[in-house]
Amino acid sequence: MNSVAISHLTKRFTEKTVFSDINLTIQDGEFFTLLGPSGCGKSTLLRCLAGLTQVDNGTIQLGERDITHLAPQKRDIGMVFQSYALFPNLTVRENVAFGLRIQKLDTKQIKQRVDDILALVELGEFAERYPHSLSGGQRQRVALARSLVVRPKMLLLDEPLSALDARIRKHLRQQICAIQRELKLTTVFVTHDQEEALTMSDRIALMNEGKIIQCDSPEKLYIEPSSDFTARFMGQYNLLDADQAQQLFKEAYQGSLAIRPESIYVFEDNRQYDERFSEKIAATVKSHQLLGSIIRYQLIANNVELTVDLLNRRAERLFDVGSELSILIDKSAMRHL
Amino acid sequence: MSTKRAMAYHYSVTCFIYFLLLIPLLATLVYSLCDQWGATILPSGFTFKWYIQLWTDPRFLTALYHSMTLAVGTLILSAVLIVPCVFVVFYYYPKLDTGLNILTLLPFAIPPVVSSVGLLQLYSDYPLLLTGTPWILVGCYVGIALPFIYRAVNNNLRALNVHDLMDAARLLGASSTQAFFKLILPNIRKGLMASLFLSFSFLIGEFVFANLLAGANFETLQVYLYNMQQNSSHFTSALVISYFSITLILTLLATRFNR
Repeated sequence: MNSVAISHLTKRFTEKTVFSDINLTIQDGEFFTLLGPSGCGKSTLLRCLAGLTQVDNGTIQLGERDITHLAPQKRDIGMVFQSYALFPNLTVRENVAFGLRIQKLDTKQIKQRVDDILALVELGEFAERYPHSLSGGQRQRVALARSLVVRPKMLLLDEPLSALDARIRKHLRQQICAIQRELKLTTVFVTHDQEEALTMSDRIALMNEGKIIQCDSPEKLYIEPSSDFTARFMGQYNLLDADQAQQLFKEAYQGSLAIRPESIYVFEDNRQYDERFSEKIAATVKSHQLLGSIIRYQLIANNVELTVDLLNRRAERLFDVGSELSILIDKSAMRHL
Repeated sequence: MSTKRAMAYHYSVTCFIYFLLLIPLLATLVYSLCDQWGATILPSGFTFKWYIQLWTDPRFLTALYHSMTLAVGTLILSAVLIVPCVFVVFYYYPKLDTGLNILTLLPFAIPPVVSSVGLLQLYSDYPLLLTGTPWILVGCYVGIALPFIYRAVNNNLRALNVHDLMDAARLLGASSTQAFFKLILPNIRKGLMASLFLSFSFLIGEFVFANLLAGANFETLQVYLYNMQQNSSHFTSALVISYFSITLILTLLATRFNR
């Protein structure tokens, strides 16, 4: 069983504490994501798991073993870097075989395992090429194969998709997930992209300034943010303080409110609205952006600015700037923070 | 049409500069092949006798041998000492790089005539009696090769993503030493070899240190050339051309090997 238990983990650089007292449990075979803005300590935490950075306090346990002070060579952990970190003097095959050569396996066995893993990442025909002749996506797949071929107990992915262009990123995202699920490999993924985190992960730890703000499944993290930081980071939440909420709903509110832009509806005459919804509120369109399947509106309702996402269904549903409309808010989807 | 004319112009300028640079060498070559060329406009005849005289002189062959072993030995020692040092500073102690950088400027900043006086003082007495032996030259030449090798290796390391490469290698089970020999060294090889050739041609032509520190006790090519000044200038021309050809051939061979 390759579950990971991190307890009271602390890392300081000379003048600054990167993170302190981090506690996490990662299940065997789980795709776990560390999400957060740059500088929040997520990459340093990953490097501590790999043993590339020394921790100051706390313990890391992988399976039955305490690996806190183990050299990276002895941890049985594979890692993929944002910069690919392929060895430029070696071919794809030699790159992938590197770890097995160090283990001094016999040539036949090495060839077999390298061929298998290259087939898994769909790079069989590129085996004799050098890294510089490959595209970014191909290079990252070589790096993935290189870290998987030694059969690690855990895989670490340090923003592996950030250097790639959008189309390849999406494809590789699916490929990584498929491989991870096929191998049932405990995986820790670091990213600053909430969309990436939401689509790929079993569980996400949202980090900020060296602290874990919320650790939940993607669905829960998105729908039930526990703090305004989560709400802000995970989506385009409308965050209203008590005064603004009162202004909007014309009734007294305690504390702040988070309203998802897709839980605000435009009133239509021939539809029934049940008690989940608020009263009709008059609003004016301030601006709008087309995001493909979604049109995002900025509305002014009772002097409160709201972001509203509507599905891009029919051209006639497009409201021009300045047009007047009525909105209803799904109160069951509102979060009191 | 105009591009053709422009090309012709560029071409002729290049050829002219080549020719200008080659004149001294060509003149020396012609002179070394002349029998006598003193009182007449044209030489009295062509001959290989200067070359034969040179290449049968045991003193010349010894000097050639000295120069070669000295240069090659120095470069091997330099590579073994300096490359790991530059790597260790780059990877583990980047703060020391400033110091190393200043250190590499010293051989250029201090004229050889000055530093050789210091070296003579230091190494002319017990327990470090090295003056007059090749060993003092080896030590001194390592210092001369240092800036060339440091620059080349450092630039190559900068171009390489050393930290991620080392991290990746370590996670795949390689020790830092294994990673250095299997990954870092092959990737800086080209730059290193280029700097070694550069140092080689520099060291083969070095005169001041060779003359002042070892002198007649360990005659190198340049010191031999200097001592042969009283000889016929046809003879010294043949010596210069031989010396130039040797350096050229060795450099070409080495470049080919490096490809």
